[in-house]
Amino acid sequence: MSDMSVKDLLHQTALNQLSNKRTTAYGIDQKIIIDIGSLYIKFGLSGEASPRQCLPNRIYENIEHCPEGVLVEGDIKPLYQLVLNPFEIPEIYERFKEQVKLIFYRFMMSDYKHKRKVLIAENLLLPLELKNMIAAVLFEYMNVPSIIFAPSQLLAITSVGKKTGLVVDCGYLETTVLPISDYGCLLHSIKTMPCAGQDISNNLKKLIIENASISFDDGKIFPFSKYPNYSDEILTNYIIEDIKASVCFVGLKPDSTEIIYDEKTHHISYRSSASEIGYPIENRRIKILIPGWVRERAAEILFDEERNEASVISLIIDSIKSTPTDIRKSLLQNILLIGGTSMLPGFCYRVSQELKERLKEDHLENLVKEVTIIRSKFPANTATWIGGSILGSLKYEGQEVTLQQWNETHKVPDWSNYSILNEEENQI
Amino acid sequence: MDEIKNKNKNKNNNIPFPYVYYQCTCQVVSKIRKDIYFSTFQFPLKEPVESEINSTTISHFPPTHFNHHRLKSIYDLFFCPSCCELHCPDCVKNDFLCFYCPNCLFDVPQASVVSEQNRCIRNCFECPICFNVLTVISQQDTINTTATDDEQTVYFLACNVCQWKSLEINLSFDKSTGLYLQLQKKESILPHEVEFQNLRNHYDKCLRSNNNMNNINTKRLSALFGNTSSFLYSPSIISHIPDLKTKLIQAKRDNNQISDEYNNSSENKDTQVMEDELEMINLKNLENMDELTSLKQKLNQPEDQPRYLKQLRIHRIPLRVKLQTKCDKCEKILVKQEVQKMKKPSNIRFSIKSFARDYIPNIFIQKIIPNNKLHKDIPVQVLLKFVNPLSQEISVSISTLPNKQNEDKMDIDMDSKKNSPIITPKFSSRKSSLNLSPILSPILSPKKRKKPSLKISTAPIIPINPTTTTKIKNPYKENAGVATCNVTVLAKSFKIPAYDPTKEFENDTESNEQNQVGIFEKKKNSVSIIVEVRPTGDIGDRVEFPILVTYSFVNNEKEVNNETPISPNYAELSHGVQKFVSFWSVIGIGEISKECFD
Repeated sequence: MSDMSVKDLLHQTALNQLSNKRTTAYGIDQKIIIDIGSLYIKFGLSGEASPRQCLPNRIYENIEHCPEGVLVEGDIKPLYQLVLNPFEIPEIYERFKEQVKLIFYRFMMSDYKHKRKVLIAENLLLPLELKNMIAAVLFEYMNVPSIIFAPSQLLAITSVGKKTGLVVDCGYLETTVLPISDYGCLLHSIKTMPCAGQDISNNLKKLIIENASISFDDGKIFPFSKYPNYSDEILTNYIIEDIKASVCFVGLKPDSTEIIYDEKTHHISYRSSASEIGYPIENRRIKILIPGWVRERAAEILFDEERNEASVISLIIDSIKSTPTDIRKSLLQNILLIGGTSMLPGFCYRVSQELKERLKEDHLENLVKEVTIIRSKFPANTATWIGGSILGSLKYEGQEVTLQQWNETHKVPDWSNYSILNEEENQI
Repeated sequence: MDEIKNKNKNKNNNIPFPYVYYQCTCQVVSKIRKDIYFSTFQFPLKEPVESEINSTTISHFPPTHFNHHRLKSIYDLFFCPSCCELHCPDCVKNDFLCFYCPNCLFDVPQASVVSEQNRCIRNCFECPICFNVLTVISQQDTINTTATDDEQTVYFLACNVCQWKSLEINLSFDKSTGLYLQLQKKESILPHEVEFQNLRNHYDKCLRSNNNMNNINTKRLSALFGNTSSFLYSPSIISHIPDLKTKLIQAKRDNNQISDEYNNSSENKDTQVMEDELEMINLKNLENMDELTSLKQKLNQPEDQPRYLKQLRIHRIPLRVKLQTKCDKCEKILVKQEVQKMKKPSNIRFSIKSFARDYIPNIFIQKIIPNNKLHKDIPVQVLLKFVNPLSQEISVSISTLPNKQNEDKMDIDMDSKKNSPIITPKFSSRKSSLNLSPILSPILSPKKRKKPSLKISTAPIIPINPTTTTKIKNPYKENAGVATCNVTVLAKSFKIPAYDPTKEFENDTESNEQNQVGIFEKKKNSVSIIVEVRPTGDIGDRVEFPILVTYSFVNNEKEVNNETPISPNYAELSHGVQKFVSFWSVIGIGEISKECFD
């Protein structure tokens, strides 16, 4: 049986080389690249130009009760939260296991016999528990031969072919800004804020409940706030994500004339020229009418320094200020926006405009003209994955945690215990 | 937050009544591991825990969450005949038997699966709008071409479900066959593909340019992997992608001609921002959503995640796979479909199948007397029918969780202490010690814990934490069911005659011998017992209760019969040895409804 599969593999490699240029020449060495986000898991084989799928972390209600090929998909729910209770790990473990099962058997079609190495794009500050959990699932459940952990920002910067740059990762749970110089992460300059896509979603939901209205197909229109009980039912996480991804955008910095502050309710609203959009739900019979300013200003919390004590811009400024002066210029020339939230139209424009303003205010005028946002041909949320795919297809060896090491130590290397892999040398 | 969670939980627990569900062995394993984790904060290895599993350990871990997710119906379970354990789809190993396209049912050889990105290479395409199958339609079918005698029929793809046509994205074909090849040409010049190739070539070149430096580099490299290192104690090393940096920087020094920076074809540096602004303005003046893609459609095309329907592309249909199932522990094949030489995906016969329903006593709810709505404090009798699928006589013993005497739900803890029956799988009783986890942890360390867990007298380790205990306690409190009824089983142990296929169609001629107390009737290879259930919960509570079933049998067959799937192959059991197997099952009979005094 094993002879057969080797034969198959060799045959397949030959085929790949001959017919399909897109797959890597080192067919056997193809790795599985997984970028585990809290909301979406991006995965695929190395050497391919796009991930096979962006799999949302859903709650699967009962996979095993369905005939093959049918999934009962629940709502989207982030796999983990920033504040991680160690006692939640088992639940995350179970959910992640389900996802891994789907990824390997259904989408990747790679079982334990394939012995494909796995490259995982990790956040540099990923809690050790999560890292262990990921390793435990992959090693114990899928029997992968080895796992390579690579820092996600670094992978992202390779996806645009740079070696120096300022990576602004605006994902679902948090926004991080990390300067990278010559493929080295300047970790002391990393700036984070716990405000990103999830907060936009929450804000959007709140704004919709307060300001949107529902129109029925017979032409009647009611304000949404009349149906507070239905809000959770209608506005599921999936719907909110869909609204965010299709009709929301980031407007320019609001003028003071555009802001309307309601003294009684303390609600802030904006004047906007953006059009009102009817978002169809329930087979297009009902529409949620979303006011233009909600679409435009839902993401305002990312830029609202007064409310959050930090904004994307202030993170960038802080990070730049903490780097050595000689690399500041090249960092600002290579600003890379990654993460799904940065795909909002206008995000890039807003960042570049506001950053220039702030640099002027902070007496860094000479840097203003340097501000360039790198244009990537890949969507921002897959940038990390693409980097992994490139690296995975190159003939280089990465730092691996092998199955054997895992079975011996049951630990993955991290800041705190980096020496695991070097234990023998430590003793000498 | 909690409210939402509860809602979800209730949603999950919408199992229609009545039902009988089983707890798989792997739930016990994961519960034990979870408990060890909570006491020591280290995830224990699987094997040592697994080897602990026997009918006694299982009895300590009754099903706690009554949600769909964890409990299985008997038809979903496997039974490994050589380790005598239940397995569910979560705790088996799967590997691939064959790959096929769900549309054309064409068997795809494994070799071409990877290179074709797990998609069908024949003419099977997926509608980018509604994900149904597209069909090829020639232009002449739809529009009667007037005298234009080009004789060039144009073909396009159309969806029969949502009426989408590939003409909408300006896609048409000259021939009706080999569409994939025609598509492939277009795909290979997509910007992201080109960019990716360029990037890879760039890095490849960089790495190759210093091949002569390989010796030094490999040394450095191995250092990074922890073979020789003194200068690598700095943790910052982990923030590099090992080797890449050294190699690339080396390349720069070695050879200045090779630009170490990847050059994006000279573009105006503000294009990104300009494009972004343009798109924002487009979106600002958007009038309706008809042209926009949904999130699902975006995610289906991860390479560019288009915003407008026009930018969607046609994808080939993803392949499916047939799995074969092996026992996780002993690698014995549990389920295998017949694969002939000409692998036909449409073939659905099995060559091996070890489903649980052929091995363990099947439990059915035969009757609920009286079959009315359930009311508080009005006992009902449930007839549980146990069917023996084995060709040996088995003896079954049943135990239930201790009943609570008090109506107050909060008193579970107290009661379980008072009653302290033989099997007291109560977690709450140790709740007081839960907060002391760090202190307890040395005591509860897995090694020391192993032995006591085998004795019946020791209560199982309890999850030591505030949040999860509430979660685990939930089924008893919020989901209510369990704590909301008192269960009395009179016939705690009985024997079920062997299954005899020759008697299958015979009439019941069994004489009414004096039945054991609590046994309703005996028929062929089944026994029905009477279980009295007295609902005690509030209105709307679910009445469901776990029972522990332990059955034992003696292997009478001298030679094991490998062929017939019905008769189990207890290869490891020597002749005449008694074997015990136990499992928990949960029986739900209904909801407590409002009392009406009509």
